Amino acid sequence: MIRNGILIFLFVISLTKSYGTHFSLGYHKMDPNVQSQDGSEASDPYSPTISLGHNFNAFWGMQFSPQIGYIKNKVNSGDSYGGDYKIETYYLLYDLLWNPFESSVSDSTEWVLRTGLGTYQKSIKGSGGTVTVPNGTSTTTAYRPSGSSKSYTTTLNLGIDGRFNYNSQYIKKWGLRLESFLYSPFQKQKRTFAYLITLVGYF
Amino acid sequence: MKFLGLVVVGMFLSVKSFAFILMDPDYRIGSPENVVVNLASGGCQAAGISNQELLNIISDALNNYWNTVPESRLMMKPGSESSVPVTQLPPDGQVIIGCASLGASTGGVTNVSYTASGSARIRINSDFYGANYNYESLLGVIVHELGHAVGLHHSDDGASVMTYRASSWMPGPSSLSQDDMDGVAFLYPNEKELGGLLGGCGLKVRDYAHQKNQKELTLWRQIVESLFSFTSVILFFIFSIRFFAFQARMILSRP
Ligand SMILES: [Zn+2]
Repeated sequence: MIRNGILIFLFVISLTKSYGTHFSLGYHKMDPNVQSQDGSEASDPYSPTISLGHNFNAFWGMQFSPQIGYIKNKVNSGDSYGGDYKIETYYLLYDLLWNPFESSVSDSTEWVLRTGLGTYQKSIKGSGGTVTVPNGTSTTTAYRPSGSSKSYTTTLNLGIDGRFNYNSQYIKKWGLRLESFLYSPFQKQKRTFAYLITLVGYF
Repeated sequence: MKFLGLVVVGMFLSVKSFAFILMDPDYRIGSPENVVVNLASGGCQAAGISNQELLNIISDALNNYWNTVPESRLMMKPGSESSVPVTQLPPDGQVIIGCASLGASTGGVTNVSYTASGSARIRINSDFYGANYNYESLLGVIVHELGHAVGLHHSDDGASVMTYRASSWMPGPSSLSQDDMDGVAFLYPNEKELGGLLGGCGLKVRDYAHQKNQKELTLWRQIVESLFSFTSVILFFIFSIRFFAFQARMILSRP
């Protein structure tokens, strides 16, 4: 998926007049409504994320803003068997930008809506091995996950970009991005929201 | 040595580990997108629980717990009373639930087939969950046993529905824990679609077992497939947004 993403990214750059590369840094949070030890609803932790994207002038005054990103998933759990699991997520977002307030790049403040589709590739890796777990009145051998399992989930995206002037040789503008994602939009039971808040630099 | 011991203990405490544990590295329930959970022959009627009551609880355990993981293709549905006795494993891709007398200290017992496309049977302890059962506690034990049926073993995390600890959420869980969801996502991940440009979104018409037998696509085939799907997705969005923007502008520009 990442290789395809990069290939497409390069392909589109080669065809389209460049508008602005953006780099973002912030947090991603899912809203999965999970149980904590006391049965109350546990909040999903804020997981750090970075992304790289580019805005292209598309049609009818809209822009196309593909992004490729990475999330270092943090997890809330009270388990003590060991720490050799790793969860991380790569994502590709295919968003279109729509400027309903008709602001221009030269304005000191711009607000732009973004919407589109996304693909999340969450990988869960474990190094295997066995553990002895209580089972009824005795114990039994059970297994830690081994190898890597990758799961791909489609999202519907809706967000807003604020862009503010910044007089620097390297960064043209800085911005704030708030975006929400609806996971598994077509399956009622699995439908889940996630949120992203990032600081963005435009080059 | 004491110092080393302290360091090791400290490291374990500081690592926020999470650990779903598996029944067996290779065990998976068959046809995970469409698992049927039936009642064993006779259900739990001998213990005073009607088939309808039991199916209601099973439906709750599936739709509000195990079917809720967005990163997993696992989807189970309640069936009906089958002719398979609770002493036998049902056909692959099925789970049966029935009652048996299991003695004093057991809520339920699950047996799985230990194959890569298997089945499971769940015995609920009729000594505990007989005529005077409590909905929450029977739901809790069925959610837990269904976790075994899909391949999860006991968790040390007190938040997990698979925990062996006495936790204050008991007897009825409010939802799955993060560990439980990660376990199901690990065991039954969504397949990638359209060359990885899209993932599972619920619109499934393909037979994955068949798809898995296909050969790996070449790099060029992947690029062409990716570009094609990419273009169609983008065009779809451009047209739909263009349409809504046009409508919005028409409405806003009215005098
Ligand atoms: Zn158990």
